[in-house]
Amino acid sequence: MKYKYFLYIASLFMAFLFSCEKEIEFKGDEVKTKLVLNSILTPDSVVKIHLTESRFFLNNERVFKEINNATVELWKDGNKIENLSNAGSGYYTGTYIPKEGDNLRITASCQGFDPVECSTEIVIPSPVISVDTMNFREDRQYSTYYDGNAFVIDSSVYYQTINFDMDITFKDPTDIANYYALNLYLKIYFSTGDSTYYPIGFNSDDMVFQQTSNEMGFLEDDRNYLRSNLFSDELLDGKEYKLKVKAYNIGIGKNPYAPEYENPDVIGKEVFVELQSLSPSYYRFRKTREAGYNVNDIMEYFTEPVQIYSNVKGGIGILGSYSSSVYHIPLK
Amino acid sequence: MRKIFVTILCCFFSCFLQAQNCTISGYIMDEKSNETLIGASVFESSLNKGVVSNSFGFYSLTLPRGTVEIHCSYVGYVPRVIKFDLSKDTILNVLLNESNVLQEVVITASPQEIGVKGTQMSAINVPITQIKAVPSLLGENDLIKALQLLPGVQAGTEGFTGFYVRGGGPDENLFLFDGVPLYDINHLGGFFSVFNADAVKNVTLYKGGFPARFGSRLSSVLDVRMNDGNNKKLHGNIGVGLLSAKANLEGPLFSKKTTFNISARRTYYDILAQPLLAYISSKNSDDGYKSKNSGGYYFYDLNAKISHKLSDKDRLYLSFYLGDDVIYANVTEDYPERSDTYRKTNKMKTDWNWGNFLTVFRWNRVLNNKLFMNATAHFTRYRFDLGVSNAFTSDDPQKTNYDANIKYKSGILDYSGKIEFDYTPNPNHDIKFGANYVNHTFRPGVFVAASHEGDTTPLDTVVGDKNISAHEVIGYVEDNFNIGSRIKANLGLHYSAFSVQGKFYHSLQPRVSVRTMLKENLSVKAGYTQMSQYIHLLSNNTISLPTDLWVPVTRRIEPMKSHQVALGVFYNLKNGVDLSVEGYYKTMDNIIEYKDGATFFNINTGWEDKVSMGRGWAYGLELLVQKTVGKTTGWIGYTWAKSERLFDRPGQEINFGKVFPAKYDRRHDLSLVVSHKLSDKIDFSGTWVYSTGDCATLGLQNYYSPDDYYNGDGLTYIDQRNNYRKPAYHRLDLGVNFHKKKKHGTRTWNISVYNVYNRNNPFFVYSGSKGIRLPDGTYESKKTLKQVSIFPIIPSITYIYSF
Repeated sequence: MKYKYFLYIASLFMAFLFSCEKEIEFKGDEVKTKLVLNSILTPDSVVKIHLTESRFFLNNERVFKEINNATVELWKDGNKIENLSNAGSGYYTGTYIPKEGDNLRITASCQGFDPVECSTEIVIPSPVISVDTMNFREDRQYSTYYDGNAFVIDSSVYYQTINFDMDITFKDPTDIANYYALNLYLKIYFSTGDSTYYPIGFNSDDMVFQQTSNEMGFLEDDRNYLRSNLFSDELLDGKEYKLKVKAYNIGIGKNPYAPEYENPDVIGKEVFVELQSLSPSYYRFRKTREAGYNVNDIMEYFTEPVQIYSNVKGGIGILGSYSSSVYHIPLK
Repeated sequence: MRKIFVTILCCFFSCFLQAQNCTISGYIMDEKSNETLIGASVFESSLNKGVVSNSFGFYSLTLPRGTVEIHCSYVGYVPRVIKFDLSKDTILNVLLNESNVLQEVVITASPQEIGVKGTQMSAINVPITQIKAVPSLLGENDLIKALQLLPGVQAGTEGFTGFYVRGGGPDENLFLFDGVPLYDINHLGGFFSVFNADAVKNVTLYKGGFPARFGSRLSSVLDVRMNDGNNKKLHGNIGVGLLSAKANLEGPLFSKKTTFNISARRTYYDILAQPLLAYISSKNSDDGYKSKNSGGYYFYDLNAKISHKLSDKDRLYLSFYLGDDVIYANVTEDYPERSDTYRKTNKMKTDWNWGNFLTVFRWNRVLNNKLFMNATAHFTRYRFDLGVSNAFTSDDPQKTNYDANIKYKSGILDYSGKIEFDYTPNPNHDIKFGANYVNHTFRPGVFVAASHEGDTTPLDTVVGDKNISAHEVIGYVEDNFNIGSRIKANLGLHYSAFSVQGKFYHSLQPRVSVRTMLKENLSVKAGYTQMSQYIHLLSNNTISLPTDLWVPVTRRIEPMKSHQVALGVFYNLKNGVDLSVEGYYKTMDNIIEYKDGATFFNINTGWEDKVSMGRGWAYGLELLVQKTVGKTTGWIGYTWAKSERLFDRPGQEINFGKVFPAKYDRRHDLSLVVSHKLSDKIDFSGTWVYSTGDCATLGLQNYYSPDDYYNGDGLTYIDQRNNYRKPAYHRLDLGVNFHKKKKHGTRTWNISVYNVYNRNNPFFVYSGSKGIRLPDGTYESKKTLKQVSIFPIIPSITYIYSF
């Protein structure tokens, strides 16, 4: 019995009133499509951007038109560094590898569109100082089936899971606003000699993870993962901070979703902690995009629409950057 | 500077120093019912001095000794002239007789306070007879919907009782019912208001130029006064319409000193539906399954008032209002298990109630012939309760019985005491002062969940915001006074203080209104008001849901404040046509709106985290031409307006900190209201409204997402909040009344047609898709913009019998 039940009652109550629906002509101001520039820069890769054309919302095209005939320039501290070369499929690449602390600006122009420009700083990563795991536990989740009267546990089919708590200590730089994304990955080593590597969900009661969900939450099933792995240093500015997370019911195996007997023996496990430092614009883009994504169909009529952040002047899109600090620790 | 100050003081106090004066005081009343008349004019012709009766029908007029000629008048009544020799203080209760000629007189300003000669601007007094004459949805007379036809008032969403005054929000209106605030004025999700026209005596709407006695809201005050009751004869009416049935009864109780007035209204579809539900339930299936269902929706209002005249100086009043909307559903399922060996029962129950309860005790006392006192104690409760329960029982030992129930509760409780005085030292001054204390308890929304399964430990938990207590204190003083023969001013100060969560907010709000007579029938008025508001309504802006939540200011959420200036020209034509043009400019600070993506459904987040504080401004021009006498009456109202918002505080940005149009920013609003009395047996009425379409937020472009995960249709680009304007709104309503005298009263058939030419007005728009059949028989999806309309042409018929 979930709270959504009430919402359905309310929706039904209103439904009888919606007596007439018809298609109408869009009579707003003419909507001119825009250049869409997207690029997420990192200190270890050459500058690469993607250019497409936005699409009027009533346009029935299924793909976004890639722009391959634009002039794209890369600027640093007011000086032009290079023109980016078209690499096909709307991509443009350069040769310059950004450094931490760089202030980069990108301009793009193409006939038929307003020129666009955007800029970002290449952020400096905040170092992860230590990672401690606690309360490590392995579990088996057995399969069940219904025998006509009740659910019966089938002990021959089970899923191997691991559970652990983790303290991640990192140093937040002073005096400036910092924005982060935390990612956890699990690397599994098998008796066959090969390994697999995949991201894992985690949860945290830490105040820094301000929930962005628009769902009711209350009376929902317990979640094993955060809805958002984004946080800012608003509550921890300049401190060495210990972030507490917990990873529960993490399936392990070559195919974590397949039963244990279909996977080879696991002989080692390693957790990789990636703390991404995000540029402010990239953080804002991801926060607003998450908020928009959380507005599901039912809630749409009861929720204020979400504007997704763009820092591309004259167009749409995001130019952001991130730098990672990675720490790995074996699980025992 | 000192000379000016002394001069002003001398002018101000000169009135108190006049000698050889006597005071005439009393009540102005309807001759047939002894119902007091609010805003009636009492005027001495030779001295050209006059006053108007106050909200309780009391007046006080101080004049020099000698022969006086008192003219008493009230719109729709035969004026009365009383000539006598004034040699001592005199109590003069004046009875006015309703005019047969002018009884169809419609919307009007009382001559002294609101019209050409009064200082009050931006206010309209609407006779209840006119409200009843306006054709209505499903034949249900609605006070709020009639007021929506006035310039400066916008209706919000189609069919709803939304009330947006001069660019303000829906929570910026003070709805006073017999002087006591009502929080939720909506029935049926806002399609009807809680005001039952049968119980109402007088309605005055203030859109600006607020006198100091009013406060607590930024944008408007709607002062609704209940009928006291006829003290001479038992009267009443019953009415049956398509939506509801109603009855009203008033008359003397035991003696002429005590009167009562009681009105009740209830919708009845749920009652009619019960036999059908019972029939469906009775058709049990072959497999032994049985069910018993009941459910439905209804709303009701009950208004009651008892008035008692203790003496010529003392009157007591006790008023009640009780109104609720109720949705209920009870389902009991009973079915066999394991080849009829056992039976199990599942009971599900939903009870959803919301509404107001209000009770007011009032004591009016004439302390002396110049000083009138009104003492009031009141209690108000608004509640929103939702309860859902599910109980499962089985006599099968292998099954576990369980029961669970969830309740959601929110609401407000107010206890208040108020004392007000009217002091009329002479015809040049009308001084009002008073104080008010309100104890608020806000319950912003609490979930109570309890469950019990088998032998396990019962679960009982409470989640949600805690109750918030607050104390509000108000004090005011105002003087409505003449400066020479052409200029009249109303100066006032309103002080309010609000204590909540250890935080103390207060404000001193000056109020100024000045009128200058350019000619006998032409005046110019100007006004300035400052207002503060300590409560907010969390509303999702689209429709008025019972889940809309009143919350107080807190440590984080500051009081809303507004400043409004207005300038107007008022002209009175000889043929009974009044014309007014008013312009206004209003700023609003600390207004709140939901943040992007926020919804009241998310109880994980406290309400303070869901809203942003910002500011807004609105300006506009209003034109009102009204014909108030004759067989054909009505008005044309036109408003040009603009209303914008800015939320740019760090961390609270909406629209990325840029200016955007308010939800109900509309450039043009035009309304035409006409009533025509063909004979005593037949009268017609019609309204036509046109307004610029409302704003909505649409993502007008899609674009490629840097992460494939979000692609498909890509991301939606919204250039600004409220970036799309829906199609224009217009509608014609017509109504006709057929009256017939019967042996014991009058029978009236009302036939009305809502939306005569079946205009599909937008309720909301959204981007959707439709399938198009291709020549090869396959289907292709095509994106479209869709509009949902809710009210097509709706005829209705209502039967009323009055006695």
